[in-house]
Amino acid sequence: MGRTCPFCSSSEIDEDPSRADVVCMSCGSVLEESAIVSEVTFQERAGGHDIVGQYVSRDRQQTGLVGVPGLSRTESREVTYQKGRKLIQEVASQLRINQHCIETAFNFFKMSVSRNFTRGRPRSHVVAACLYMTCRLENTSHLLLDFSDVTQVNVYELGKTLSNLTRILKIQLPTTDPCLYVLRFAIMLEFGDKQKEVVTLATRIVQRMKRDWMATGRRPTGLCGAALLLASRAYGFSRSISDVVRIVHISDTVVRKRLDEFASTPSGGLTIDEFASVDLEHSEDPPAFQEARRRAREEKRKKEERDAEAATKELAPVQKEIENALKAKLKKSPYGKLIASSVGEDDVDELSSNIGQMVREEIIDNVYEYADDDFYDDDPGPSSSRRIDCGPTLEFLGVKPNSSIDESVVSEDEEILVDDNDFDDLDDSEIDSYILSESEAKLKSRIWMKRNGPHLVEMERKRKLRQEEEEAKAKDPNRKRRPATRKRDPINAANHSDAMAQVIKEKKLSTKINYDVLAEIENGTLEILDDAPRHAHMTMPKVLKGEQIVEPSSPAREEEVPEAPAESSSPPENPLANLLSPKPAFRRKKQSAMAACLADAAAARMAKAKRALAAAGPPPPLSPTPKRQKRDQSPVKSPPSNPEPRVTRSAAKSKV
Amino acid sequence: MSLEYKIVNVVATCDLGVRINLANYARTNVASVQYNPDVFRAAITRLKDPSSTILVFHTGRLVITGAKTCDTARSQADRMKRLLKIRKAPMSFKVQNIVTTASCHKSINLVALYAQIVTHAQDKIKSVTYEVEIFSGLQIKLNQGCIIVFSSGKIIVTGFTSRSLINECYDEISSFLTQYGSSFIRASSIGI
Repeated sequence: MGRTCPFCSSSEIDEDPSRADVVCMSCGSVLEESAIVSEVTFQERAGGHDIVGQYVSRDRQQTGLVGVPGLSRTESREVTYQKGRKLIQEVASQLRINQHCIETAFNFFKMSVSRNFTRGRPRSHVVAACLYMTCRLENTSHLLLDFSDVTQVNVYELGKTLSNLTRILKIQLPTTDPCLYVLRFAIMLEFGDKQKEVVTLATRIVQRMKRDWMATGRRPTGLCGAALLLASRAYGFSRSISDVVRIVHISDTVVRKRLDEFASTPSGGLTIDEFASVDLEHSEDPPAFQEARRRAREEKRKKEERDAEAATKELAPVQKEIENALKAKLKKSPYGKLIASSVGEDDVDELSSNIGQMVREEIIDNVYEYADDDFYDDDPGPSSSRRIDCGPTLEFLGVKPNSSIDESVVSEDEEILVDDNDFDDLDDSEIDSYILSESEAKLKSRIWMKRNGPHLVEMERKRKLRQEEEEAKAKDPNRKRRPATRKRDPINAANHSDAMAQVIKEKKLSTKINYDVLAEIENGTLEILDDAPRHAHMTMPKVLKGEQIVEPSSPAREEEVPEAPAESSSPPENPLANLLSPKPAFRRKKQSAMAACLADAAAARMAKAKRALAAAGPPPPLSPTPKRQKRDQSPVKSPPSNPEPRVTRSAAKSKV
Repeated sequence: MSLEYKIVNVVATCDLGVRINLANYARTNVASVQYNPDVFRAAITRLKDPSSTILVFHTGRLVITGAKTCDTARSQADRMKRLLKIRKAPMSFKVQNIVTTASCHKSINLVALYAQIVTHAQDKIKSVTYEVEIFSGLQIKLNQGCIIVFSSGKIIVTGFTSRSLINECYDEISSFLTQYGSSFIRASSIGI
């Protein structure tokens, strides 16, 4: 230790434990003698050399003072800490948490105890939460699920306790990174020599997943499981999904889903080597967001389809009109004659042009009909057979007719519920629709009674039982009657001093006061005499002497303080001494305290009076004196004959 | 960014002021009434058009759930009064909870959002929880209500009892998103 001699400032200081001296080597001054040393000493005993003293652990475990009666063995808080520590050790050893974490967790535990967090909570919850918090802060690869396994507590309850604990201790936990868990699970999957490469690849996959926004809101273990599966397959290890599920504590549906999601990302389409070397820039939207968008797009598409159909239906009659007009036009045109020329005027000469016209029209109508049927027929079956005349059938061409061209009507789906808002006329018919008819009611009644009848009987019985109990209780003659509190008369008083007087009269506030004397003071019948000379540092009386003290307040205000404004120079008899006289000695302190209070009140009034007077001379400081009175009054033992003014300076002040 | 929300559920309570014999009500009166006293001491009535579920207790109190608007809930209470054939007018009605959903149409990084809330918005919130192993959403508890945010951008706001409070809450959310959103919102995600 760097000690320096205060005399010669040399740092050569010799400590000799055998002589218990500390001496400066340069100037020779003795700095310490018989120094107390804190070393381990040994003493000789029968068995050998034993250590002197006892080993006391840091946590103050008291095992020594067993035999002393009246001394509690251990404090409650110490017991809590001990038990908590023990439980932490147990849980930590099962999860292989290192000692440093255990210490930190124990500190958290102590903090939570001081904030009353352990009250009303099972200790295992608190302990698990403290340990998990430590693990999170240290970024170890422990899951809340592990703690749940060890303590057999529901993981969601642990989560709740954990969030409460972090809120109370005002600690922010870092978020879990899936990459932390990869190594741990890889070890369990036993990859042998290639473990390092597999882990590297799996970690890369997980990082890629994070960049593609697959990780927010997902359990980290699921991502790890999928990544490890991919990595293991990449290196030729045949790990199945069930292996992964067993180790990672996640269901196989989830693993499959993660694999699918990853496959749908562009990175998922790369080969292993490409993936290992290339890191794509563009990141993807999270899968939930993609789902939502996809669904919204689908809905939009369906809506558009429906709109299109509705539009088509509207257009149909217009379309027909147009076609008819066109047809009429065609009949008159030379093309019409061309069509109908085969059945024409050549054969039949008698046919006049009109009839020829009609026939031509007929032919063209037929043609149109035929075409229309084919065009507008929704039923593909018969039409395909009818098309035999037209040309090669689809079957002939080798194309199978698709029977389900399209669902004609999109299933009226569940998007927007029509929200009818007219409740103003909620008529009884609607209500009546709910109410059952007679026969229905009977049927329902039967069914219901069958199911719930016994329970109704039970309820009836319990109700009766409870009623009887209450009656019995009411009639019980041994019932303790509480003494009825006497109603107090309301106090009518002119002002507060009267009220106080009444209260004191009634209640008899203290048994140690001579109320008669107090009453005398109040009435002002007590004569005030004091022969003692003035004390030196009482400047006030000089001013008071010879002056009439005009009381600023009404006489009734102060009942306990004598208000005689007499200018008599005779010192007042100690009125309070009368109070003190008949009482035994050991109560005097209390009385003196009472006297001091009265004195304070008196002093305050006096000061007020003085200020109101605006007399010559500065008012003396009154505040320090009351304190002195208390001290002075205690040594007084024989008050009545003692003419000392110091006994009651207050009395002296309050006189005259 | 303005958030349009949709009310999904309204929970309200009502006191009709008269005692009700639930056994009679359940047995004979009305269809779609469930009453199993050994399971639960209330009759469960389901009404349609608009649909809602109403719990009727023998003290005459009702709990109305499943309504889509506050007015619906109120009218359902009226209906129940008529169903139970109660003429007495006075009825104390109170909306207890309104559940709303909204979407900000952008994907949200919940880890970054958590960090932002912790640094910027501590005065208005009671607590923030984002425990991935427990729940996939980020949960913000306010003095009166609660907000849940998912990474798909969907937001659930519950726990408020009136539209004005909900509007206030959504205004706060949208202002927070516009102010700090760049750090946790995926910039290139396009809305619908």
